[in-house]
Amino acid sequence: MFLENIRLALHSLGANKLRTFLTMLGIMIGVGAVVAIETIGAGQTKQMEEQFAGNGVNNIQIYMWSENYDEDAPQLSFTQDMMKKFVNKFGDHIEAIEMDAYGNSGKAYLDAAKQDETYANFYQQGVNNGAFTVENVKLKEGRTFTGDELNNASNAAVVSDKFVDNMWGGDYAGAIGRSFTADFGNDQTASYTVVGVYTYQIDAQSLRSMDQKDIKSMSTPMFVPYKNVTQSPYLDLSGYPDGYDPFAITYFTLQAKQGEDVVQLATSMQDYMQSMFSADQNVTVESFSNKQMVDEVKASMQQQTTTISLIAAIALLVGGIGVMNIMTVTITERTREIGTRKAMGAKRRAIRQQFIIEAVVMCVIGGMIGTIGGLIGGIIGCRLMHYSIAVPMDSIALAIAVSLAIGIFFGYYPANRAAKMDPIEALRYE
Amino acid sequence: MGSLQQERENIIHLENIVKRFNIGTENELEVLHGVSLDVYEGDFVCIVGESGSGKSTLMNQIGLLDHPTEGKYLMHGVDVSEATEDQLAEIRNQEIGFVFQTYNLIPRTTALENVEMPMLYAGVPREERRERAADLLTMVGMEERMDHTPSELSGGQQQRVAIARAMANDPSLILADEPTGALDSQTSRVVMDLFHKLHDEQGRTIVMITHSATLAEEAERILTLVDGRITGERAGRGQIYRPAGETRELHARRDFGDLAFTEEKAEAEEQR
Repeated sequence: MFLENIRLALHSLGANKLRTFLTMLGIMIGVGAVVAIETIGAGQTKQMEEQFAGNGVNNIQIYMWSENYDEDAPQLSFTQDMMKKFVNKFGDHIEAIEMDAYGNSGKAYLDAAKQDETYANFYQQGVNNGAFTVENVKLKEGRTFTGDELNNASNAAVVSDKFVDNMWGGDYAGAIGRSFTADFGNDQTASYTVVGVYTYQIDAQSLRSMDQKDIKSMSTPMFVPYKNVTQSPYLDLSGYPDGYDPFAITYFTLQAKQGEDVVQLATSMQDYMQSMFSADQNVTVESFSNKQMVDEVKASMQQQTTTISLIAAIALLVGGIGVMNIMTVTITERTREIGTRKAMGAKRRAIRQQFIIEAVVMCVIGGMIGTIGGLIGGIIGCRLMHYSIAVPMDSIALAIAVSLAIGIFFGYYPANRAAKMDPIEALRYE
Repeated sequence: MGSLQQERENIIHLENIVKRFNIGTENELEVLHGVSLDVYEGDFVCIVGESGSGKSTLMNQIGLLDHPTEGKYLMHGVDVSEATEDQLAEIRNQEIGFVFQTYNLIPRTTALENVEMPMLYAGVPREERRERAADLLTMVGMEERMDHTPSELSGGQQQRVAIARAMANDPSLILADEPTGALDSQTSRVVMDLFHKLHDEQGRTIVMITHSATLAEEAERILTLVDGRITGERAGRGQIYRPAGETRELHARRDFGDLAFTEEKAEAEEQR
């Protein structure tokens, strides 16, 4: 009976194609819009996950600021002593701590005369070896810094593969041990020796929006020993008050060990560092973890999804009313048929089922067409916005299930009216 | 009633059926004023009445499409006056084959599917349905047009499909309401012949409702309905036979043989 009714429904829907199509349109648009937006959302999420995959969700940032900032007052920061205590307390939970000091940006070349042809742009970053772990910098060739290099503030550099592409035509192994001139502008130059080459990770979205020329002139980080930046002879402190340390630590990033409860650990670290400052110093310490951020972004996307679902619900409600309307018309038109069927022995249930199935078939077909259209639209949207492409299977399943539910819900009333028709009056209906 | 009848099963027994409409309002109207009626297996009964005599109301009662206001309805000796709507649907499905004046085939649905329809509600498996529907359509001479939809068939052809459909669940009774009312005389003849064939060859029980006294003569029993009352019963010829006026004893119709052939029937045969 059930299968017969589906066949019957397809038959009678096919008999009135234009009307069926117009009625489906509401459902198609509603479902299509949701699936399109969900597809874009899924692409966005996938994009974000891809970005964080390289950036470690185990990272925690601790930072501080003081409310009563005064140029003349002694500078407040995380002191060496505090950092030692911190490491003593949390060392077991920490994979690596990053030290970094931003240096200058500049241009590297081999031969000053040919610097317009062979060059690479960089920005100098003074780091400890922990930074490579925390920032998930992967070495392609060579090594990180030796203890001597770190202590002596040597002019050693770990440069990006893009840097090597520009300077030595992509000979990564051959680049190790080579020297180049780093020009920081204002006639400040220094010679650096390459000790390592790392893989520069550029996210897919940025890469898609760049052409070859952009890639060539792209500025990538040049890692040097921490002290190489903090003790740079070119450091110009003339604009700062006496005793000001531009490299005083007001924030640092670390990577928690695998399996740590990152959010919990971040809070403990924050509380501990906060306890190092007295109340009258008016210092606030905060922590931030990527995990937390991912959670927040996911929560906000969830919210976005809820909002969209509400709008979609309204669209589907309108579509559903359209279905109910057309089913009411259908049933009036087919009153005699209903009367005949009842005379021939169709029970109420059979009639009700027949028309509910007709409504459901209409809605589900509309939902499927809407899903396909929405997917195509969503994928085009992802392309245009340079997002990754992901198919939101759960949303598609939900869309089909909702179409089915709409069919049952809005089909029920007219179908029930048909089921309750008096066979005599139905047979007499002109 | 003759002795032959008593040996046959009583299919329908109506006892003092009263039907009133708009009960309790000022438009209250009594259409049937206590109708009693028996139909036996193998009967060919015709109920004749002018329009407004309560024919349709009586047919709805016999067809179990409606509950009587008062009175008793026994089908195969079982009281069905108080049956629920779904029970009535089941009885109609199994026991009654309807033939309507306006054919009432389902539009945009093939002849074969139309004949299958009552079997669908009886839960007959698809293959069996197909087969039986095809057999029935062959019986009514529609084997060439099984896949035609009603709009592709003439009125007479549609009515033949409707008769095949009425036979689908092998009912105890064929209930025909003005079956030739919408047909010209030649196609009417074909349809009437079909009823005779069902009656004569298969022993089908037929109750036909009509306003035409001429047609009524072709039945075995003729009941006259006037103003909601059955005013009389007389024997018909049970055969197509002219000139009119000659009456015969009930159920002796098979003796008639070739005499039954009229010019009109011969013409209709040629048309076929």
